Amino acid sequence: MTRELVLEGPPDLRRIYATAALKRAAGHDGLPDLRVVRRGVTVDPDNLARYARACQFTLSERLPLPYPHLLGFPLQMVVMSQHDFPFPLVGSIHVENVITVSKPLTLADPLDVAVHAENLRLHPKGRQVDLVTEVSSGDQTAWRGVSTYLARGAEHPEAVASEPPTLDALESVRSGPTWRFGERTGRMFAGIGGDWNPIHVHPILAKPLGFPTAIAHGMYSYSRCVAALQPRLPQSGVTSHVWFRKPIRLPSTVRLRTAFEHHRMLSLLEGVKRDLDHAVLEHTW
Amino acid sequence: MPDLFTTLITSPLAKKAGVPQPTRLRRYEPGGPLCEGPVLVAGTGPYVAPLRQWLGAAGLALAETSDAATDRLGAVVVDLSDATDPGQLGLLKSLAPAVKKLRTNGRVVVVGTDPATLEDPAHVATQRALEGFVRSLGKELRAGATANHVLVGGEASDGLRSAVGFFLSGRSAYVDGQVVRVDATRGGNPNEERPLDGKVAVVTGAARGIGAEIARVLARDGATVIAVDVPAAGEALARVANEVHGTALLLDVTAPEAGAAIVEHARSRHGGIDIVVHNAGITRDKLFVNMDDSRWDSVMDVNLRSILRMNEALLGPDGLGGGGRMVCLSSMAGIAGNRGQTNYAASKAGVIGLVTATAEDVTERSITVNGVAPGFIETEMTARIPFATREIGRRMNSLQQGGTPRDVAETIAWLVQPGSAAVNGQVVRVCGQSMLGA
Amino acid sequence: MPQTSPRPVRRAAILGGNRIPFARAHGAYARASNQDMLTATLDGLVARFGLAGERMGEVVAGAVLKHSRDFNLTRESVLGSQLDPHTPAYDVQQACGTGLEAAILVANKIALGQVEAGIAGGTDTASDAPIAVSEGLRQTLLAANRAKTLPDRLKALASLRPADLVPAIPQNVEPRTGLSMGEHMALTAEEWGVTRAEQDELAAASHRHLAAAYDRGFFDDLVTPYLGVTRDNNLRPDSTVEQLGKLRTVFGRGPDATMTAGNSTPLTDGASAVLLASEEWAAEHRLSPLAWFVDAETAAVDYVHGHEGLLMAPAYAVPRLLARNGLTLQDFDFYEIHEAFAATVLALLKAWEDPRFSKERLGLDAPLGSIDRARLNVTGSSLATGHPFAATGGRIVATLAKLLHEKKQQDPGRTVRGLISICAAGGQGVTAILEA
Repeated sequence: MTRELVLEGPPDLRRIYATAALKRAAGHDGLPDLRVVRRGVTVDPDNLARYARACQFTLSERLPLPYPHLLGFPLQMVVMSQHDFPFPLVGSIHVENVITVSKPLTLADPLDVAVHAENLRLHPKGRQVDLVTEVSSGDQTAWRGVSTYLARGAEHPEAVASEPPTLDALESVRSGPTWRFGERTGRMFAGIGGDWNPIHVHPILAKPLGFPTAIAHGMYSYSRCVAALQPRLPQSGVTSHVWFRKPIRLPSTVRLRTAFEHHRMLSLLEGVKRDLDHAVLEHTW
Repeated sequence: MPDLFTTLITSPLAKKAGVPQPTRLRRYEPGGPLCEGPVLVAGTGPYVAPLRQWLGAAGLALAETSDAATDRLGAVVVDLSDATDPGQLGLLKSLAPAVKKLRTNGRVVVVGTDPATLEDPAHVATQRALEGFVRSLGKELRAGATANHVLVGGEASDGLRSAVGFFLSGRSAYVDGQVVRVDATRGGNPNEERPLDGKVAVVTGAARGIGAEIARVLARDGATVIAVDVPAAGEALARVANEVHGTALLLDVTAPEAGAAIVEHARSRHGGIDIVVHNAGITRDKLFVNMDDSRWDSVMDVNLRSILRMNEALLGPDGLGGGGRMVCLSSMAGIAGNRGQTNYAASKAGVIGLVTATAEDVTERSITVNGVAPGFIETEMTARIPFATREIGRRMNSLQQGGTPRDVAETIAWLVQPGSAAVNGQVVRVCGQSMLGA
Repeated sequence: MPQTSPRPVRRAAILGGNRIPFARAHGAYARASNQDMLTATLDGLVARFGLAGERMGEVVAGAVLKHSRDFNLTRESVLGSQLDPHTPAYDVQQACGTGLEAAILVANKIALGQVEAGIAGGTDTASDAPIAVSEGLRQTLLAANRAKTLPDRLKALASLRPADLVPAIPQNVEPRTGLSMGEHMALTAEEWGVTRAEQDELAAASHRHLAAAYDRGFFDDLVTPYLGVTRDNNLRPDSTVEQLGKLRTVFGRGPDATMTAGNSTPLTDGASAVLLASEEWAAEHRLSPLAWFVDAETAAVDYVHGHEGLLMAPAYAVPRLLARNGLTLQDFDFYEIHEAFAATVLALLKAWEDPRFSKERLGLDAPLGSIDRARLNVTGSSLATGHPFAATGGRIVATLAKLLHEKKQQDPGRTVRGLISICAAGGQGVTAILEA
């Protein structure tokens, strides 16, 4: 039965990264039957304000849609650094994320945050797993995030991967918000979100891991997109789905194009200079 | 996040051990089918044929018999409103195979005659027996299925249609084991997709929780919403009002001129009021012997006295007109009582009295006044209940789970429809057939 | 060829307003930007009037302390709000007169038939103020940026001095005199013989009036809470003349100094907005006007080389405004005179009562005379609410419009009028008349 690990405070991510670097991904075929939990978490208004400013959300008492992910991220790291977790911590790629908001959360709400892993499955290029973050206020799950990570490995051409919806609706949409992500973007967002994965920090650290430059956090570029769309989204009953495609090399200029439909928005985040699809977003309510 | 106990009983291990697992309830989606799967309409009463005709016209498949060849059933509707002798109730027995074949989230609706309108002891006994049957069947049904009872008084064709439609649909997901009486008042929804189109609705306590959800559901069904809450909740209220494209009105419902201010806002901004939902409410729990005056007074004032005061304006010459609808939020505590809530339960029981008496007063003006008594609804307010009590509250009902604010809102949205003109002075419990105060 | 003819001028209606509670600087809103506060304020207004998704003729607002990145502050706030994104917007800045000047601009466009409805507002944060690099560093960086080669660039950078690295924090100082606004005011207060007791009395009244207005629910439809603040947090409802009398003076010198932190406004964060429209638009949207925007006048004084006090410009604007409208200073039911300092209000009142000032400075045969002090700032003003520079105008316009509306309901037979006077940095004064 599920083991529950209750943390009294935020875990020390530096230590986790340090031990993770030493850990070898053993060929486990299962997932740790573990829930990592923090109770009564209060949002740090300073961190929220820095996040809002960095991603260009309007600061109000309501938490921006992606923000609770930042509360769950350190707990995800704890799950992924377990000795029986089948993936390496460094080198796993965040490929997809689905957030469902069933109740708007505010700065004042004490939150319970719980993370567990599920749905270990084959992918054409390796294996995937879902890290599920549930944030509740007053006993009701108000926010649920499913972060899908891919570990490259033995190929499984027969496996089926989740594909984003077709982008036909975007054909007539020519423009949208355009942002320049500077060379320091990764370090800036690591300082806010706590994800100091070396691939985001500096080209020198990213190169040994196979990236020619540092790359932007998926959660950062995704947050920028949601910030641009949030004025048109309802407060609750929303599902925000993102498929991360090609990583954004820093520095880069990107553009968000969106087709607004009835109860649905379909968006593409793309490179302006190089014709790369960085992310596809679908919001439904 | 489910707490530890929830984690324990929803784990695979618990499933094997036989701890009952709550079923995901079917909830209403605009444009979706009234009911999933064919409906068997049975019985000997006069409404069998009209119900069949109407359900067929609504696009539902009608099952002819309950024999083994047919599909799994979405619902069983039985009309025994003509039964005058207990012997005639034997027909219910023949429906057992059909009930056994109900799908997940199936429905049983039993139509009877309001015993209060009858005199002959055998007749009254027969009709009254149906209620006991429905309440017990509700407790036996599994997998999100519900059983409810519609009592007709007079030629209640429109009212019956409205009530049966509600009980079949996902709007009544968390309404189980309930009795609703409909009278002969006529009235239909001009637009089934947006039954509240063109209506102006006032919702008090709309900044968060159940109130915010009521605002959303009424707006979804076509109403223009005036969202009311105390000035201190203004930031949250503004977001709700903007989300539903309504207007925010900041006022304290206990202020002497609150009713007049609402009427004035509605008249000047929207041309009048059609719907009022008295949802604002507070709890200040304490054991009776330790309760101070301020806890008692504030709960009474917000939950009960403010409604009486506001109704003078809301039901006055400039308030609700013909076709007007009012719904007051009561509570299971007001029916069954609750330890530590003498003040709250008194206020919410008072609301029931208010509903019954006011409904009689305004019936000739074609206004209806009804109550909704939520059971265990997952909100910020219930989260303050101590853990063990909360877990018991959540499980102690026939559906073995807590309801959602949406469930309460859907029931209210049904009561305020033009088509629900025949439902007046009723208190509908949204409690999953709570074992408390059955 | 079709002929165009000038449209008749119409009345602009004030339909209502919204603001967030004002908060003392470096407190509750320390992390909020101007854009955050203005957006929250607009959304509160949208909710109050059911304008979600509505296209407005224009939104005009501004901030006094503004980051260079906020060059399009108002438009950016509109885009983040629940208004239709097709709503145009522009920024204005006239120091503390910004909010009122924005309302004048919108009212004038409505009067001319150029827009049907608009929102005027303002926002300011002293907590999130822009900090500029020193002039030396700025010049050096610009030179380095212009340099084409690396050696040239290094040469440019080499000219940097350690002192250049000290950032320039914005100060409440007049660039042409180097004196702070408080020091300017202290000079004027002395000139007009404004006593400490008078000032403390005015300050205590401001707090008392504001608290009473909150208590009677006056602000329920003028204020929307923000970040957990539900009332202006500078408000001290139990403020007394005795307590204020104990405070140490902060402006002016020597034993004759009279100005304290209690009778001067503190640095404050906040935002406000006012909804204005034509009579037709209001009727179409079933909104009833609270008051009408009648006229406005802005004046400026030469406080640098001349002999006039920095904050005395309204003394000149009001007589011109009255003359143009055939009114006397006594023809008003309410006076909203912005309390930059208690002494500002008192010096203005003394000037209007003074025959010599009226003759010599205003060129009038007789002074404007006294006002009924019971009609002055009846729901409190900046000493109690605080004064987020650009947000004050919107606060006053909405407050006065509601006061006039209330008065009109009690006394429907006659026109009720209110006068607004706001002094601003740079020796300016913005004044206006509203009526109902």
